[in-house]
Amino acid sequence: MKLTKLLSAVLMVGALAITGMTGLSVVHAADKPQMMVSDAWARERPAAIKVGGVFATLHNMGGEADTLVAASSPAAEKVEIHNVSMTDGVMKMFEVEGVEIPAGETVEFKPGSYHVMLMGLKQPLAKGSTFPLTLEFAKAGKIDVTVEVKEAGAMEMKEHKHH
Amino acid sequence: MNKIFTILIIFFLLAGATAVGLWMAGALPGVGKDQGRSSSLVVGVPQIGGPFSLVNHNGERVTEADFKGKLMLVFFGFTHCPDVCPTELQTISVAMQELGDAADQVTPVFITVDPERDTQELMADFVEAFDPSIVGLTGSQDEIADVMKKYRVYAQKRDEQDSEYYLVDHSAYTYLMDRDGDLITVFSFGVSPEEMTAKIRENL
Repeated sequence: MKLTKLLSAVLMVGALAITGMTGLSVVHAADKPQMMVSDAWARERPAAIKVGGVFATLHNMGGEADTLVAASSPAAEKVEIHNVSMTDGVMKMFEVEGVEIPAGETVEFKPGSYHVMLMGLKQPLAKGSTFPLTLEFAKAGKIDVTVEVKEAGAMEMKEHKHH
Repeated sequence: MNKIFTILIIFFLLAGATAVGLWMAGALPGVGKDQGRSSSLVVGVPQIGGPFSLVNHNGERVTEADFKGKLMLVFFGFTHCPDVCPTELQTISVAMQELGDAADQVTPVFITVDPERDTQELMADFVEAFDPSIVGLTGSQDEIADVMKKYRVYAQKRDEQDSEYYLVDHSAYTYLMDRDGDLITVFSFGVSPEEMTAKIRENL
C-alpha cells in the first residue's frame, strides 16, 4: 500500500516535470521563433559625444528567416540600425530599413559593418557600465538585451588579444 | 627579322597603353575634391601632403615642420563617428604598441574632417582613449579644407541626418609619411596592425 502510494507520487512528479518541460518548449516555439541575441556591447565614448554604436551577435535558430526591424533604448533619444559602406576608400554610414537573419544563420553586428546607432545619449557610455536595448524582430518580436560598455577601441566583446 | 619587328611593335603598343593608363590614374584624383581612388593613390608620383597649420588636442598651434624628423601616420575622421574612426585609431594604437622601442620614431596624427563640432577639447577627449602618442588636430573650416585638399581627402557632411547628430562621409585612408613629410604609402581601411607595423619597420 505504502509502496503504491510512493510509486504514484513519483509518477505524478515525473508527469508534471515532463508536462512542464513540454509546455516550456511549446511556448518558446510559438512566442519566440528562436531568435537569440548575444554579446551586445558598445564602445566607451567621451561624455561630450552624444552618439555611440552597439554591436551584437544575432542568431536565428528557427526554421524561417526573420528581420530586425527596429531598436530602442532608454539610454538614447533616437536609435537607428546602421550599416557601413566603403566605396573608392570613402566610408559612409547609413540607416537601413531592416536586417534579415536567414534561417539557421548568425549575423554579427561588428565594427566596419552593421551597428545600432544611438543618438542623443542620456548618459555617457562609460567603460564597465551597462544599459538596456530592445531589438524588435518582424517575427520574434521584441528581445531585451543588456549592452556592456567596453574600451573605446574595443573590436569585439571579448578582451582584445593585444591588451 | 619580321618577327622581331612585330615583337617591337607589340612592345611599344603595350608601353604606350601603360603610359596612358598611368597618366589617367594620376590625373583623376588631380581633378580636385573628387573622391580619391585607392589604386591611383598608391601608383605614380604622389602629390599628397604638404604644409599645414592646425591646433593639436593640447591647444597648441602646430605646422608640418613640427612633425619632421619622424615618420607620420595620418588619418582623417570625426569624433562622432561610432564605427570606422575608432576602429582605425585602434589599428594605429595596436601598431604603435607592436613597434615597441621604434614607436618613438613615429607620430600618429588624427585630423578631423568635422571642425564644426570637433573642438580642441573634444579631440583631446577622443584621442586620449587611444595610444598616448596619437595627436589630434583640428582648426578652422578653411584650415581643415586646406589640409584635406593637400591629402586629397573627400568629406561630405550628411544633411538628411538630425542636425545635431549628422554623419560625415569621408575617405578612410591612413597615410604613411616619411621624415620629410613626403608620402611613403597609403593603407586602406581594414589594414591589419601587423601590415602597418611591417611597412613602418621597412621605412625606419
